[in-house]
Amino acid sequence: MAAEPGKQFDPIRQFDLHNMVDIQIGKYDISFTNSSFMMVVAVVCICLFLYLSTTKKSLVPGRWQSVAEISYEFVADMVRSTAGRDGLKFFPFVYALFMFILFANMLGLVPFFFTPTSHIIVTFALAMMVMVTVLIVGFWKNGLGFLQLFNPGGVPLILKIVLVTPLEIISFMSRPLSHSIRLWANMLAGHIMLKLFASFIIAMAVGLTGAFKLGAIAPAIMTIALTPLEILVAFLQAYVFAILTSVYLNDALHPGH
Amino acid sequence: MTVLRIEHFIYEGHSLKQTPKSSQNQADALEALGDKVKSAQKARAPDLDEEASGWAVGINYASVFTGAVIVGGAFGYGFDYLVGTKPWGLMAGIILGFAAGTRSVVQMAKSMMDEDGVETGGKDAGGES
Amino acid sequence: MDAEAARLIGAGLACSGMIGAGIGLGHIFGNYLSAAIRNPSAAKGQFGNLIFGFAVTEALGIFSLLIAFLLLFG
Repeated sequence: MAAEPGKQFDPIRQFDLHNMVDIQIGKYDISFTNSSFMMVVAVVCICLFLYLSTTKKSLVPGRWQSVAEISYEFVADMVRSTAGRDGLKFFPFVYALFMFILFANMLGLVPFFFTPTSHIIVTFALAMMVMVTVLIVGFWKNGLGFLQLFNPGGVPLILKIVLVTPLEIISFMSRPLSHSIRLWANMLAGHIMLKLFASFIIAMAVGLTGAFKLGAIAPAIMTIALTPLEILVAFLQAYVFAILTSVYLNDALHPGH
Repeated sequence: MTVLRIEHFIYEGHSLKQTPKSSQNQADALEALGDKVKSAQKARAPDLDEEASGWAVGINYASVFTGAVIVGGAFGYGFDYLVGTKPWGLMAGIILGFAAGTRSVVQMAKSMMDEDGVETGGKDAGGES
Repeated sequence: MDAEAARLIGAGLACSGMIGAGIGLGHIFGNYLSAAIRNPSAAKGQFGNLIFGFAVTEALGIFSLLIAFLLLFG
């Protein structure tokens, strides 16, 4: 951390992007940033975790293998219960999303690490991926019958044309936005809170004199209390993202339910 | 969770050695064991809705509402851009987006209330899942 | 003053209408919550009224947002 006065405790600075490798194609800047680096780290961690934990395929699983199995079964149960049995075709997609978001969130909690999911463009890209998948699958499986999703029963025709169908369409189209804002806002707010309280510790311990320095214990306790909450939020948001993905896939597979 | 599955496996292997006469019994027992495993798994699964912090719930509502308004406004603006009815599409779009957002929020709140009712009330909804 | 600058300032001022909506929403949900804690059994019956109040209050906020958008993009 650079010690510029004032800038030192800026809680937003942790979200700054730095180019690690400058790449410029045409007028597009596709440099390899610290965000991309952390994504690669998350993917490598997932691959290592799943590979190493399943190399020794024992019947009675060891610690690592059972963790890997639990993560598998957790997501598989979730997909099965929300999207039905034919939703299991999309299990690899949902599992990859879940693991990527979980690892990106969890690694972001390590001090000095960057959190890719605290940038809305990353979460929006993930949400758009889900949205495009849902649209393609919906039209592929049901043809134009997918549009039944926007045509709820039990409503007078006039009301349907004027109000209900536009509302359904707007609700449907706003899904990727709310989907991405949810994850992004949670991660952003959590990291700002952590950073704020952590900087209070330093500010009080350095800035105050004598016995007042002991006041720094209060924000320290707060930081310690916030950390498990953040771990919970990191897991919960990955879970929420995955379960909503399977709910949307359920809409694509069985419209009109 | 995993340990229970291995019991299941061992039990199945055991049942193969039985004579066909008792296989009906075995199948019943197996089913009962399966139920037991399922209920044990359900009891062990973390109740995530319970642990959701109020903060996350608030962000959830806000994101749904904001997303609907923004998308409605964008639709209206796009409509204006294409058709050339300058301010009216945007107005109608934002109002429609507001209505859609309110509806989504109401639906979410309703489903949440229902879940709460199930937890404190009966088991009628637990059977179907 | 430049007309463009006046337009932007006007959009910003229009957004201040959201302050009232925010205060109003706080009142509605706060009072609902305190009433629901006093009498939890009646809380569910008043849910419709809560949403009605929320919708009307938020609609007024949305109107100011609408004016801001009209000034910005209209």
